[in-house]
Amino acid sequence: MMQARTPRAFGLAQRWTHVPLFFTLLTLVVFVRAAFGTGRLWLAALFVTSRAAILVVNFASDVSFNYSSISAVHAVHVLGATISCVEAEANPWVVLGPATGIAALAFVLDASIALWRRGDARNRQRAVTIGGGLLVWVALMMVSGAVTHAGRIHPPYFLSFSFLPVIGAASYELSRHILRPGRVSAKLHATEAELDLAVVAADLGVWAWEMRRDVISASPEARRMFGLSEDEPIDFPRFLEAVHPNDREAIQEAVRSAIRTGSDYQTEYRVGRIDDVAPRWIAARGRIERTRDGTPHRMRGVVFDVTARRRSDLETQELRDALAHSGRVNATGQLAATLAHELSQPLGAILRNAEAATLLLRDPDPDLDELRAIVTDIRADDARAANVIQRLRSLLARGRLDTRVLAVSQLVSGVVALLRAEAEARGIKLEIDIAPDVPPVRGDAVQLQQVVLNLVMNAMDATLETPSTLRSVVLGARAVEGGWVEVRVTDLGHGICSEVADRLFERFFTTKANGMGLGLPVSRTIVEAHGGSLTAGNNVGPGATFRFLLPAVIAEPGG
Amino acid sequence: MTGSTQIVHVVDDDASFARALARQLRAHGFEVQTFASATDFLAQVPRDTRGCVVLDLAMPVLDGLALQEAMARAGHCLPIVFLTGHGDIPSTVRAMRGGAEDVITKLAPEEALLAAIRRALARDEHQAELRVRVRALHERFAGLTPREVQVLHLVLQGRLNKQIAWELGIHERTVKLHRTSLTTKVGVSSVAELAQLAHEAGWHPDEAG
Repeated sequence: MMQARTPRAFGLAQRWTHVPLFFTLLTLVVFVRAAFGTGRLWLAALFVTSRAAILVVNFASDVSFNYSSISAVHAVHVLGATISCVEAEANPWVVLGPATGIAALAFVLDASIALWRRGDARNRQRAVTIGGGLLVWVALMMVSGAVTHAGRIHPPYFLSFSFLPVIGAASYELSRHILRPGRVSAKLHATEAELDLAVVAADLGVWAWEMRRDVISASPEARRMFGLSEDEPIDFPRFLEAVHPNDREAIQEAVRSAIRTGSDYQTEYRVGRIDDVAPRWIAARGRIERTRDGTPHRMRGVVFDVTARRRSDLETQELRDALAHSGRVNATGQLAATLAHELSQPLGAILRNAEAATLLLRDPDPDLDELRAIVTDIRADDARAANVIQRLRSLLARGRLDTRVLAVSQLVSGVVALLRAEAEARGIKLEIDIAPDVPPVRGDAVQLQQVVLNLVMNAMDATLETPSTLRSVVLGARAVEGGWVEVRVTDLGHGICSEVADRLFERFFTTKANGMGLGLPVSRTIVEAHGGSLTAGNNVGPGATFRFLLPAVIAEPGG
Repeated sequence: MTGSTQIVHVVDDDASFARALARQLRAHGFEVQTFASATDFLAQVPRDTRGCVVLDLAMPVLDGLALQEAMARAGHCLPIVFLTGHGDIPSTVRAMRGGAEDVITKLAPEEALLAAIRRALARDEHQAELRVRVRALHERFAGLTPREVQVLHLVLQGRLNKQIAWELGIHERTVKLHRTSLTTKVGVSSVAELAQLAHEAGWHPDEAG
């Protein structure tokens, strides 16, 4: 067309350029839809339809869509080349051009805005470069078209500067897209190498479980941990077979729980037969992968050998127990020794003084001044002895209660914080169940926490022999009619047998090998000192519940 | 007063108890001195003091057992009666092994306390007599010439005059003269008596002159 020498040749060429133009613009719409994933379909349809209408007009008119007749062709020199320009009369249908331009503008603008709204930085950048580029192109094309047809300038027909921004924008985007896979793959490679290193360094076994097909793939390290050969196919039953029989149920529960709650699969179990003296301990962590509709289809995770840690945990625990016990015994012994010494001083002095006085009184003319001094000393020493006893009492019972208004949840959470590690070490689930409307109580925080601590420790001891799935202790609180707050500690352990029930709160009565038999009687004393009561009973199901009632503090208006 | 009077030294950080005990013991006719701490006692009481110590087992800084050891190191040989608030077996054993006269509780009856103190004073009396005797013996033996000491050693080892003469390279007659002289100086009439006294004075036959 640019080389056309005659009006006829120009018109013919121009007519046929509309075919590739149509497809170019169609491609544009498809590109925006595909690249952005946004844009209203009806706008796209409107644009395509109007463009198609242009095509129809193009072939139906005498010359082309643009001109109804061409009178002359000039040669114009542009950038060292000679191309053709025409003098012609515009086709009345040419107004369809700006119309399709507006439709295109609307579509691209709409698609860009939608992409921008998705929010993340990458999408916004794409919306600006591509969307902006296209918009500028379409807008410039419309302007230059309008100006050309109005006969104001005579640019060579296809030297439209409006193409430049869009070509720039598109090639920028394109280069990014071409380069990105390379960068991503290099990065992926590095990450993979790092991961490999971590896996090896941490002695991790890696596994994946295709849940629908029930196929477990496992790294050589993982297979070694379970005593499985390199090529043996693994499914879930085969995996369970490798696990210590007593831990199989816990694993299944952990998997079920991960599927149900969406939380990570996290468990520790032994590997080996039931008669293994020193089974290996494995810790497993995993994550469920789901299909779009939320069905779990795969679980991926790692396993690692924690036998050494388990063993040292056990040793530490035994050591801690022994230490705690000896500490208690020692403390009692020291208390007794201190008490004996402190009391024996004044009592001894009183005795010596009384004996001296007795002797002095045998004298027919006793030294009364000396006798008076003796009586004064005796009284002073008596006060001293009473003081020692008072101090002891305050040491044991902390004397006066340091009472203040306390939130029950704080009371409970303080104890849970103290015992969480212990509970975890013993595989006991500590649950809190506090009703939202529990009123506060008035009391000595330290003493009441001591009570809760005693009860929870007892409950934890009682669940020692229960299966691991039943090892849970619930710490609950609720308001009870009549202005009381009930705090209860429930376990699923062995419960209270009838012989023990009557003596539960007796001093120095204990069923534990290392017990002192003081926990419950002291707890009851504390609760009663707070104006409450402490009771115990077996649950309908397994286990026992200890509960104490404390008077609720009712908020006084203005008080 | 010094040397012959027996003093009961009461060492107790509890002033009231120390005062009461002193009062009671004085009423029973004892001479009493009280000390508020073990260090006071060590600083104020000379080594040759007579009497006994009534010592609180549990005291701050330097306790009874530590004072017992310090006294032994310093050559204090006063018998000790320990008083304790409670019958703590390990410290009782240590105290007795360290040569304590007795360990009694602070709430022990008067008779037990007085009996222990009297026993301690009696032992002090006995030790004092022994010391006087040994000192006298030492004085007697101290008058011997070096040659006489050599002869004495060999006599105590049971050598005959002839053997002694040969061993010392002197004449047998001279040995006889030395023997007569040393028995006169020590004041004994027989070798058996000499051996007995030498033993009491701390001489041993196998010791080199």
